[in-house]
This record gives sequence, structure tokens and C-alpha cells, in this order.
Amino acid sequence: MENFFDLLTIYKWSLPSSVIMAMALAFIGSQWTAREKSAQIFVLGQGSSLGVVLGLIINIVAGTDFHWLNLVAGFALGAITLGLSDALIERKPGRNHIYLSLFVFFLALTYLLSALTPSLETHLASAYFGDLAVMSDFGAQVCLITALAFVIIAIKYGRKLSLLSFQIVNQSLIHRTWKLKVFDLATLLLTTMAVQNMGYLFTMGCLFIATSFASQQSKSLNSYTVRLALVASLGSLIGFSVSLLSTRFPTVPCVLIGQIAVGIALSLYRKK
Amino acid sequence: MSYLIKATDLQAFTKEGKALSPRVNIEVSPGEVLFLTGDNGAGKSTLLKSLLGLHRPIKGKVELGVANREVQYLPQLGTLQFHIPLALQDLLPANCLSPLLKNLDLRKLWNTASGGERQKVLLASLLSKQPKLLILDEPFNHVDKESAMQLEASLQDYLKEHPQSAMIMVSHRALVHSWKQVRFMDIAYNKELEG
Repeated sequence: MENFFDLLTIYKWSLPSSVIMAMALAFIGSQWTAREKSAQIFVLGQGSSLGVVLGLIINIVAGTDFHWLNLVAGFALGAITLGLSDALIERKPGRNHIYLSLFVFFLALTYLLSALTPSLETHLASAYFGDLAVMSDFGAQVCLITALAFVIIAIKYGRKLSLLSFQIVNQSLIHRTWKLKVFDLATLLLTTMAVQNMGYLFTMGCLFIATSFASQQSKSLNSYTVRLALVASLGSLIGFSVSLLSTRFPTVPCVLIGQIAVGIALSLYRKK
Repeated sequence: MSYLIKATDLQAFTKEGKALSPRVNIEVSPGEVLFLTGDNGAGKSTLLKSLLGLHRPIKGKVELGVANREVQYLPQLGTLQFHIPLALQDLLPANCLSPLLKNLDLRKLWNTASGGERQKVLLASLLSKQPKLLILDEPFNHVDKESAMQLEASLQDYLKEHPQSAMIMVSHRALVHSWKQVRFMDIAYNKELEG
């Protein structure tokens, strides 16, 4: 047990950072799912992931170690993906297959780039599947501050954000506001930061797991928000802690399984 | 400039260039109600969306005589199931008082509310913003007769209380014919009909 607490002090930044980031991503995922754009955000994440890999390649080729370059490249490619998909795909009927094709295209490009850059393979595994335990303290601190700011805003303006999402999906949004752009930018920034520091798998899981459970069980917006936050945070906390019990347990799968377990537990608790 | 909205040679198209509506000229001034008629599939809803910039591409010109925020739009009521569990009261601005909300359980979730309940809440929300121009697409569809009468009465009351406001509406409901200030326009012929 003493060993366990020693480990907790080692991960004093990565643990809270991943828990708060999981909450922030869950809030983002809930709004995109409500807008019936979950496939779009799935591709956006893959686009950001490809950008992060491009940043890594530039660093390797140039012999530099600029972490911000990965973030900028990921953000830029994510923004291009979001902009193009909004302009060209969003209004097409049955658009999910187009998003999936785009996802496969980005995945193929990522694989091609990694094959052409052999020294990238270990980086690629970490960019894709992630490992919260090896996150740098600085990266964890920046993620923690950004995600915390977003969570506070998302809780404070949750109803307004949900109303905007409702109007989008109800096709009654005729007054486009800057708030929508800010939300898109926050989505891009947080998704890219999460992909870069915590991996694509963590990012995608946190975007969709919590909202899938919370939306089925909640009787009001408040209870939905509480459940969303609970599944994302408690699930991540339990999952991360479990992964520390053995060196054979990777962090990200444990965190995601933790979220699913908390989601199921809440469902069973409600049924009782 | 006395008009609230003016459309000149407005026509909606698909991206491939196929016409989705006839070409129309529309002008609505304060206090007027324009009632768009036409066969099913004639393009009435698409024209409304084109007026609001929700449909592209279009040909022609749309000019607003009021600020964008003074326009409110009620789309056709579909069977939307919303992912986030919003209650009816979540869709209303704070302190929204409307006779439409009388006897409604506002704690009811949107996903479990009836068509009439949904439409009353959406219309109450729109009217509380006191728009200068209301654009309504089949506001009485999917609602029972009693609810339709309540919706219509509230629209009539709104226009009485706000004589400078105007309305463009698509509806198959006949009761609106009794409104005095209504103009009718068959979009297929791009001309107004006798009331």
C-alpha cells in the first residue's frame, strides 16, 4: 500500500490532469453527440492525431524537440478537417460513410508516415494508444489548467450550450453566434491536447463513453450533468488507480474500462 | 425602407442546379401576415429556409429591414429525439410568462412530450423574444385541434399587442383564413390571391 501511495506522488500531475481532461472531453462529446456529429468529431480526432504525428516527423527530421510543434500541427490539421467536413460533407445525406472513409484515409496516411520514418514507431504507439503514466509534468499541468477552465465554463453555461445544440439539430438556429465558434475552437484545442498528451484512444473513449451512459439514465439536465461528470471522473480515477497496482496494466484501457464500469454501476443503482 | 423583409426573384436550388422552388418576389411590411400556399413539394419550406439563409444555393436577393436578432423562426415540428435530456422548461427563457404554458408540466422531458406540448413551448419561447418578424413553417402540424386553436390564438394576440410585427407562415390549417390582415400567396404563380 505504501508503494501505491509512493506511485501516487509520482503521478501527482498526470492523475488529476487525466481525470479533469476526461470530464472536459465528456462535456465536449455530449454536445457533439447531441448535434448528431459524433462521426465528425471521430474524424476530427484522427485528423489531429495525424497532425501530431506530422509534428513528430518534423521534429525528428529537423533534430529538434519542440512539443508545441506537435500541438500546432495537430490543431491545424484538426481545424482543416473540421472546416472541410462542415463545408463539404455535413449537408450530404447519409454522411457517416464519408466520415468513415475519411477516417480510414487519415489512418492510412498515419501508417504510411510511420513506415517511412522508422524511428517514429514508438512515438506512434504512444500517440495512438497513449500512456498516461509517461506524460510529462509540464504537459499534464497545461492539460489540467486548460481542461479545468473548460469544465468550469461547460458547467456554468451547460444549459445555453445544450440549447444551441438543440437549435442546430432542430434546424432552427438562424442566429449564428461567436459562442459556437468558441466552442469549436475549444473542441479543437482540447482534443488536440488530449491526443498529443494522452493518446487518440483515451480521447475518443472519454468523448463518448460517459455521455452514452448518462443520456440513458437521466431525468433532467442537472442529473445528466452530474452523471456525465461522475462517469468520466470517477471512472478515470478508479481506472488509473487500478493500473498502478500492476506494471502489466496499461493506464488508458484501465481508465476507459473504469468509466464503463462506473456507467454500468450507476445504471444498476438506478434500477434498484 | 418600410419593409421588414424583401425577396427579389428568389429561387432555391440543389447543389446540382435543380430548382427546388419556383421564383418568387416577397415583401412584408410591419403589421402584415403573409401566408404562403402551394401544393405539397412545391418548395414552401425551402423558400422559408432560403429567406433565413438556412438553405443554399439560391438565386435572387433577400434583404432584411430589421436586425437579424429581431427575426425568429419556427421550423416544422419533426419527431426529434434529443440526446441530452432537456426538460420543456430548459427550452424557455427565464421568467417566460405565456398563456400557452398554462396547464403544461414543464418538468416533462422534450423526448416524452407530445407534439402539442413541444410546439406550445417552442412558440412561447419565440414570442417571449418579441420578434419583429416571425417565420413559421406549418406551426399547427402534429398538434391536436385544441392545441392548434391555442397556438393560433396566441399568434393573434401577439400581433394585436405588437402591431409593428409581421409574420410569414406556411400552413395547411384553414382557420388562419379568418385573420383580417392575412395576405395569401400561391408560390407556384408568384402572385397574391384574393382573401
